Amino acid sequence: MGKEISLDCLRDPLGAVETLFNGASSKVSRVSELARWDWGVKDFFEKFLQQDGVYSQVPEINSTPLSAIPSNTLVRFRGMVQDMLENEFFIGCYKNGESIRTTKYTDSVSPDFCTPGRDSVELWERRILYCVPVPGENHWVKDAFACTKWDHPSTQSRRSSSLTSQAEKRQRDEGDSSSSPDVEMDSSSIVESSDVKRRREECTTSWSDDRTSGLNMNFPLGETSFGPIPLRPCIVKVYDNADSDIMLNDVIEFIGIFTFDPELSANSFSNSEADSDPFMEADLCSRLPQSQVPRIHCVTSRKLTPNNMISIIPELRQKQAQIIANPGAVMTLRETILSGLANLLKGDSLAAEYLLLHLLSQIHKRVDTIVLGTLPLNIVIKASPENSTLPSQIAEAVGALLPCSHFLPLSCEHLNKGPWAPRKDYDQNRLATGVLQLAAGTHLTLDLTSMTEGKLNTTGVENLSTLRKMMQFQTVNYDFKFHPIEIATDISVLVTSNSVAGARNFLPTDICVVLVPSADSSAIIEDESLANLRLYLSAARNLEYNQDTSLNPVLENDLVECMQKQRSIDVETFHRWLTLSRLLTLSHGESQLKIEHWKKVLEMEKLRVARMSH
Amino acid sequence: MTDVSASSPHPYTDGPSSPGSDAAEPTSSGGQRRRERRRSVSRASSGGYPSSPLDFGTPNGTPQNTPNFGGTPNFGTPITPRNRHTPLYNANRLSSGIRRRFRQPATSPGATQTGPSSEGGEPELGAQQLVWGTNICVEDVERAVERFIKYYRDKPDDLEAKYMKHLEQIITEELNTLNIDARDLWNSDEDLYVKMVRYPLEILAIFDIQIGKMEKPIAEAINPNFDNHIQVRFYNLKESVNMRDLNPSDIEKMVSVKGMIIRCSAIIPEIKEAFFKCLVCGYSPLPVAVERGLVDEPTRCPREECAARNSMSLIHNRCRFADKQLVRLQETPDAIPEGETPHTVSLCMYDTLVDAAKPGDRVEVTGIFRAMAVRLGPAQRTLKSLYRTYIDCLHLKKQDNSRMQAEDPLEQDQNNDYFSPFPESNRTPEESEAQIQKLKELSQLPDIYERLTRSLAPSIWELEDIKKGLLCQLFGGSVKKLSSGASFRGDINVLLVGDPGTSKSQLLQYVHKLAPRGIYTSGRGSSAVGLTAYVTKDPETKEMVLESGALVLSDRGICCIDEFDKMSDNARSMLHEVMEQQTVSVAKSGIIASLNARTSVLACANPSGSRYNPRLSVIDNIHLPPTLLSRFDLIYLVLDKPDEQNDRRLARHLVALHFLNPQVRIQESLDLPTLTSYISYARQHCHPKLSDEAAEDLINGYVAMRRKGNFPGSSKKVITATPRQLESIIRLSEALARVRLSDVVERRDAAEALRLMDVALQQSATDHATGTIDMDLITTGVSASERARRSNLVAAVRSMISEKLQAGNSFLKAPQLLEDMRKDSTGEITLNDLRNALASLAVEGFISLQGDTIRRI
Repeated sequence: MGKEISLDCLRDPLGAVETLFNGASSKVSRVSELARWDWGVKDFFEKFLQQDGVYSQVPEINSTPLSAIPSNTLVRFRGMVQDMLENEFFIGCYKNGESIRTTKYTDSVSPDFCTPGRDSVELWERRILYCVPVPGENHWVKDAFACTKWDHPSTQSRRSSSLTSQAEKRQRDEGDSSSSPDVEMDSSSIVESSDVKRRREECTTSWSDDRTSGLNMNFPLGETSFGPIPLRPCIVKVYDNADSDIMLNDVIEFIGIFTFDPELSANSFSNSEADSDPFMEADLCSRLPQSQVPRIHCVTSRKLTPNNMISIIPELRQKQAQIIANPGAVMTLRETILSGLANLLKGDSLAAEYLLLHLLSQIHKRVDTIVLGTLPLNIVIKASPENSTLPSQIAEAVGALLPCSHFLPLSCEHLNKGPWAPRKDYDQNRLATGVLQLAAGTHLTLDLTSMTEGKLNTTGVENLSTLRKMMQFQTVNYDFKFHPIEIATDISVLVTSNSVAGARNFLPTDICVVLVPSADSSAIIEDESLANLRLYLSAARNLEYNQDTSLNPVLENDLVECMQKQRSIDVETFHRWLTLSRLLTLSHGESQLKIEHWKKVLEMEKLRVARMSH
Repeated sequence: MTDVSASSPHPYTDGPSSPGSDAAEPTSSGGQRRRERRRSVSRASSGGYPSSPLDFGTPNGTPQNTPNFGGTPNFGTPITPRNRHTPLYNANRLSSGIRRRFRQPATSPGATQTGPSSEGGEPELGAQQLVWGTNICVEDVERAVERFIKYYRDKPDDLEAKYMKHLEQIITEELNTLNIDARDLWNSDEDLYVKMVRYPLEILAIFDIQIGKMEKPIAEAINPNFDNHIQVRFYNLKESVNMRDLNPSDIEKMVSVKGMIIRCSAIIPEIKEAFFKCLVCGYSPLPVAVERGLVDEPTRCPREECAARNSMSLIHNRCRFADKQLVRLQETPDAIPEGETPHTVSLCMYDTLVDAAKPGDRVEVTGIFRAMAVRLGPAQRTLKSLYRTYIDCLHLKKQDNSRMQAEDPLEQDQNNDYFSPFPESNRTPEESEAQIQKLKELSQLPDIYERLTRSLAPSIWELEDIKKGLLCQLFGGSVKKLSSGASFRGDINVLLVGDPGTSKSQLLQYVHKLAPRGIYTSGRGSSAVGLTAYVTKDPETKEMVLESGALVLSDRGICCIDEFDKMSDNARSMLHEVMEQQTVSVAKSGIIASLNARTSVLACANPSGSRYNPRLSVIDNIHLPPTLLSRFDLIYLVLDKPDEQNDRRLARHLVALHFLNPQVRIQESLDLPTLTSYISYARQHCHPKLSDEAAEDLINGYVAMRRKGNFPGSSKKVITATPRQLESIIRLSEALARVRLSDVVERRDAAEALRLMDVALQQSATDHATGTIDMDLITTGVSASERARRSNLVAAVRSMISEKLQAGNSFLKAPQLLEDMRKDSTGEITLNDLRNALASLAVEGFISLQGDTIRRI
């Protein structure tokens, strides 16, 4: 054929899908084969997205008002998988007279399809994910994503060899009798075919009717808006088992086709059939109004973690690479961040050092029930009126530095207010969220200074024990009524309290740093260096750590010596020291432990313990 | 069949014009083609057998045997026994057309296998009767069914055929379901089994018809009044599907799924036969059967004289209804991959299955996986492209009644057909067979005991003997039931006492992970009711509900209690009953109950003075009541002994843990899943008995332990062991036999049990004054030497008082007496000791005591 078809992938992605589908369906001998792969849709869209300026043209849900997004266009959405709904079986493709049509990436069958059972219908399966905006995501992350380029982690390597792969593809195509149509991806000039018009007709639906009628959106932290734009959860439909490794609480950026069908939406609340079929009809997908919970048919996606959230953005990745390659720059940044944190912490440089290491901590290994790498820190602040805002200031600073963070004042009232661990609501058939349903890498500041006298009810006690368990073992038990399901977490916890013992009674806080103020807390860090500091933190967290075994005997000797001297030193202490030394190394942008780091850790610990005994 | 491209015309795609309508409705053209096709297959196999459709006189041509299957114009209309109870077959047809069109023509081997007989067919028509859209020959299947029912025997020398016997029983008891073990079918006729799984609707219908035919002569003979339609329910399919693996290719197939029921709907009456009455003349035609979920409402009165239009009205109370219930099934926890939420599937239950299971039950369901198009609304034509899936249940098997009376691995009836060694995993028998084989091979290793010990909490350093003790606890001893009804527990209770930071909690966590069932709780904040059971008011029904606490919930498991010493005395006192009688009694709010709590207790405690004081006894160190302490079979002291060698190894271990990337796996250890299945297999299948030599050894060991009290130079009687210890040793030795998957306790087990006991005792029951083991320390908290010292003191005080005081007038103050005593005696005397002595004298009636004032009586 070889005829060129120009496609407007942005505004008419379904047209592109259709083209690809037709190309594929003409080549296969059996319809069932069509179910097995995506006819190149994912590759096609990824190539499209990698073009300059395309990614930023794709409107992002939650930074663009929904009313501005036409139906059946390409959108992107960054969210955390909050719940996994039942898989859907849908009519994958059907035969309509001579032609085969597909309903993949759409919600409804086009009008020319009459009844099932007429002619041929193939049933396919898709996965349904309920995603909420990333809980605790800080504004600067949102801004960074607003204007950048698509760069799929898996394509990074592929792109370098794109020439060969392209050739391969060509070859394969030529192997088939009919080559697939050369698709010219066109993002600027829009050729509106009648088809496009038809598809876009439905898009001018009124979004004004905001039925916020007490619908539970299941946001773990209850953030409802980003600036003027209300935050929306999304129902994402994933095809082809492409992302079979998606787990609960993963943060994923989806690129997909935004669909809105007024008829389906209008029907969502009329439970005409619900009476006859108590819970089979009432599936969540149809109950959640489309105007509140947009539907996205995912064409491609990429997993985000707090570590790659920054480095996935190409411009930032380059900058980061420059920084980490230059030891001098790393040291300057380290000094900047330390002085900034020290300023924040009233001039206490030891506490600043600990806080920095704490910010770098994350789980690096789980052995049986032992979790290695976390560094739950307790900053003990003397109770005084001028210190009362310090916890929130610290949380604010953390928020400026880490992609996801949350400030959680602990008070009886707050603890008693409903379970923090997610639980299954069988009436609604969905997972009701809780404060502790957070993506890996989220930072939590728990403020114990706000604790007052009061009575904890059952919920409060359970919340506290869930919190303790999470800090100790980094797991949260989700309550599925008949049995709990243990979900692994990776949440760094910073506790602020007024006394060492006061914190220990509530939470397992091993590392207490008593704050010794020497100055007033002042302006933290100016904005321009913030960007670099974020890069520095993310780079340090990402560093590969290689232990040079030659140092092991030294460490062992030191440990044994300490044990001999002081029997109260236990295994926990050693874990702490080893973790600290690892983090200290990373904070210098190095990947191998040096003896001076180890000595410094021991020194720091001595100072810290000495402060506690005062 | 899956080819829908127009370029390749296929005989099936353009077959009958009304595909959606019915399952078995071959039009002449479609039927003809199919017949030819099948013919060629059978010819190929039967090697030159006359295969022309016009071949009459083939031996098995028995037209009267064939029901008018293919010939019936409408398969769904009530043709005698076909009129099945359930709406199953009606609902079925909604989507049956879809399946047919896409299915590969079944080139089932069965068609060829039954070669000659299948040639019979219908001589009149010269055509085979085939199930619509397939090449399954109806007569073949009918014969196969008959053969199976009539001749299947469990063992070849059984006198009666298994299912004929069942049939007779059903007829005598006037039941209406025949449960067939699908594995029997597989064993006798693989081909029929395959067909049944692939085309359950059709084959089940044939089963029903054939059984209907077969029951008649039997019924006439034994129960002429019997007129139930017997339905076949299959269970125990060869393979059960994981719920999350159900996919579009399973639609309309017979599947078997395991899961837990989470919700049941109310019972829905579903109309089966609609009864109409003419409002004009009062005439009522025969009831109209429901087809495909729709009632064909007559538009005019069928009576010719009346023929009034739109006059027919539905008379509700004369319609026939059937029960229907919707149930939601959720995956069992073990089938859920890490980091995902459980999947659920809807079930439709009919008739007798309604209310057969309650939420919380673990069941295995056999049924037909169905998909139904989702319509936006009854009035709307637009279809969503969605299909809703559910399983039409045929059979439901409860795996265990509920969590509380969960299956009892120790007392599981081994002769039970349904007994499966791994009740909650989805394995095929071959796989579990292989797994069992693997476990058995493991058990033959000479160092299996050491290997298992190594595998237990490999990240925790040292503590070999404690790990061995915990291993014994995991395996457990045998429960002994006497004919009198008394029983002796088989569960082993372990207490770990030790310095902080000695990984006690981690050991607990690890055991908790490994244990088949159990609760992990902390003594701090556990109340008595939280551990045992409590009565609450149900917020919905306002009725009293008995809620079980941690100990009851860990029935048949291990209850791990951390910070045992922090537990309130009240809560601890509840443990007395649990740890010996293994029940929890509740008498509250009018509910009096005794719940099973056959749980092993693994507790760990910190010494009262944060660090263990080796100069004090265990009792003084942990401040636990001796009555409770004696109920622990093993009490280990996890002490942090300064030992450079150990420290160095620990340090190396920690450093490696943190820095070496390829995990330091201890050589030759078992991974967690293997360990778990090894333990559960052992617990289920091994019930060790003491061998005579081992019993002899245990007796000798016990006697030796008791004799240790009479060490030379000691006139005092020190008890080193009590009958409780003997029981413990027996339990330990049984557990050790289980470690080897052996049913016999051998001498080496006995020796090791004695050694373990000794190790545990030496650490905990050493009387620090004499350096010997003293069980009295455990049982009363006071060692024999201590008691001797006390009685000496009492005697000294007595003589002192009788020296200083005359009866009646004078008195003495205690501190003053203490001064005098101290002058007199060589040993250290505290005021407390003196008070104790005075108290016992007062009890004797020798003195009277008022505060510190002592008077001679």
